[in-house]
Amino acid sequence: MTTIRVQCLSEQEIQAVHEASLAILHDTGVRVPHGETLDLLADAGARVDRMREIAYLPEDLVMECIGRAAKEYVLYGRCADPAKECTARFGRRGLGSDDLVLMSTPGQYAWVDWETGRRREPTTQDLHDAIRLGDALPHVTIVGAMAIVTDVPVEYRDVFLTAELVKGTVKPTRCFVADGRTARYVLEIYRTVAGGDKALRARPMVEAFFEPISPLQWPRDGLDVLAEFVRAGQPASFGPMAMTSGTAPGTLAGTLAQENAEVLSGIVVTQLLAPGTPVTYGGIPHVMDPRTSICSFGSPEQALMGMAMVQIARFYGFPVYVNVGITDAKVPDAQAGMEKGASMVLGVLAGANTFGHAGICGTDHGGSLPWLLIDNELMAYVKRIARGFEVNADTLATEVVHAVGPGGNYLAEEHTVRHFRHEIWIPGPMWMRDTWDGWESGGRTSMGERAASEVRRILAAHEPEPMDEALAQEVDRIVESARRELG
Amino acid sequence: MLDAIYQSVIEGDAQGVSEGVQGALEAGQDPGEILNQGMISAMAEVGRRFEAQEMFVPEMLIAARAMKAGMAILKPYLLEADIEPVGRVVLATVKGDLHDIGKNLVGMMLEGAGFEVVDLGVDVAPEGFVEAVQEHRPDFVGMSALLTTTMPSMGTTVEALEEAGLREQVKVMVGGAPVTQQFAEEIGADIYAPDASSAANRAKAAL
Repeated sequence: MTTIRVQCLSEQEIQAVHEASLAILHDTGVRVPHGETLDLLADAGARVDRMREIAYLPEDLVMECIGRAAKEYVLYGRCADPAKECTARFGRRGLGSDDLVLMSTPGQYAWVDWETGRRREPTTQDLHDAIRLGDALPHVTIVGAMAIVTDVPVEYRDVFLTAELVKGTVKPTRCFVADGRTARYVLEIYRTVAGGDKALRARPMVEAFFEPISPLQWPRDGLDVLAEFVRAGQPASFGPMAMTSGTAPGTLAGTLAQENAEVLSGIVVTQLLAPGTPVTYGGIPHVMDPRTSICSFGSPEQALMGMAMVQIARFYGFPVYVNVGITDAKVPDAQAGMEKGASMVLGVLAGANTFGHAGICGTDHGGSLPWLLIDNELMAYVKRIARGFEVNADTLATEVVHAVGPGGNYLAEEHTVRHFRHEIWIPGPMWMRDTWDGWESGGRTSMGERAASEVRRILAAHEPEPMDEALAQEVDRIVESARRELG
Repeated sequence: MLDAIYQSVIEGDAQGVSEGVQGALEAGQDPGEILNQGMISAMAEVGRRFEAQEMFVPEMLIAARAMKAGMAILKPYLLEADIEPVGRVVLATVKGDLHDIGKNLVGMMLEGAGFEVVDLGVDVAPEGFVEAVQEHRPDFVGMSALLTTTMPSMGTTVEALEEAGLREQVKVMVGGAPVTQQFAEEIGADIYAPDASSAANRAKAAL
């Protein structure tokens, strides 16, 4: 068993991208429409043009902040039982498939109904279904809200989503957080669940996700959220969705250089706000389809850039998130299989820690529960590949071969029984390996149909561990004060 | 001469277009013919190739930019000869939305089709549209949105035009990734276009 690794950039090429990013940060700068952050950057030695709100970051500041950032961390769920740790671990990924983190999408604005197949607005029922499934699925590490519900007022909606998440699952959780005021209530919920400020700092439960707007701009609200989270001792990740030929240069290398600059600029601010904050490097560039100017989720270039971003992030030593395992397809067809499969395998084998969010239909067309299940299975499939296999005297099995002899079979061998569960991946009920007749008599089902059946079955069967009643009431009280004060 | 300008537009050769237009004017060519045969027809061909997936967005954009370079030289001559644009469009991305790539593309294709475009930019409130209509008296109002959360502003803008007594004077055109034909009808828009090329075609057809 040797580490299976893929790479697409040489050492010199990684260095060249790094230097190009430094040049961009130094000469072109980033737009920071946020007075406090500009002050912070200026104090740290950045050249700041206050009129145009642009900060130019010098090399030594960038390198110092890269050095200062923590590069390993754990996110905790509300598991009371330490023996049943519900965690997401980020750090140097070693051999095999341990510590591959899959997160169900923190939020989609639309919903693809798993019974009708039609798109509509997400509801609180969808949210609860999504949380229940996220909790049930073995390969989902972090449960996302998936549904940006429309039946709760937007003013305190993210606080509501957070409350339902922590009540509905023992795993680590995430939803998108709109602004600084909302962030404070969200953190209050996590603080309450963790058992206080100190406890939350010691065992962080939530990550700030900061998305620069390519090219080279930071959103004002995003900066407020980032500041709240990192000052509360929570980790941060950054993921600009630069699009080749649209919001990034028309070349893949140029896209990487710009995206890397954007991620590094976020890391710099984080380290100035709260030195030592652990960080995940999110390299999530895409291409813009030249026919339509629409972002593509499944292009072959995405797989390439994903691999490259993993290499670049590892060059700095960071755990890394790449947008692989996603698709532009609207239904689970061959295009979806190719796009998700090819990119996911390459991303995992390149050494990424975490991947494109699970449960998205197409190019952010909407949240989808059958897709969540399919993504969970895809993770299982790819984990099997990443795990590899052992070559040793026992597994080479020459004694068994000798005992069975020419013309025999291995089905009832003890050696087989001892090994097969570890060697051979057993697919779940959605996977189709029947005989032709079996498939026909089963109703000639498609993957989409089988996934929908599984959604129905799991929703009916799975009960998450409930939160302690008194704690749940405290959490609800926080939502209520958010409703009163923000709504 | 006009053929050379036509080719330069299609190839996105701004310098070629400028020189071609200059040369044609010096040779006594009619400015209207230079406009129609040298440039508008070239952009119509660009649109056709785009819809046939023979040309793509970046190529379309540089062709439009090449035409714009020619227009800069031609404009005073067109004014002198009393040659009007085929129509006027007030164009913007709606309130709360900062995305403008699509809108810019629509503007360029409309100019390529001979329209005068007043681009108000991004994050434009209904009042901004109303004021622009009062000031510029356009034939069309074009609205763009990329976010589902900002789409409702399109409906509010239509209402604002009604309240200001301006609705009857303009045709309202909407577009953007989340916008659909159905949505356009729901808010009382006149035209929906799925992309920049069809936007220009549908505006022309509605004149």
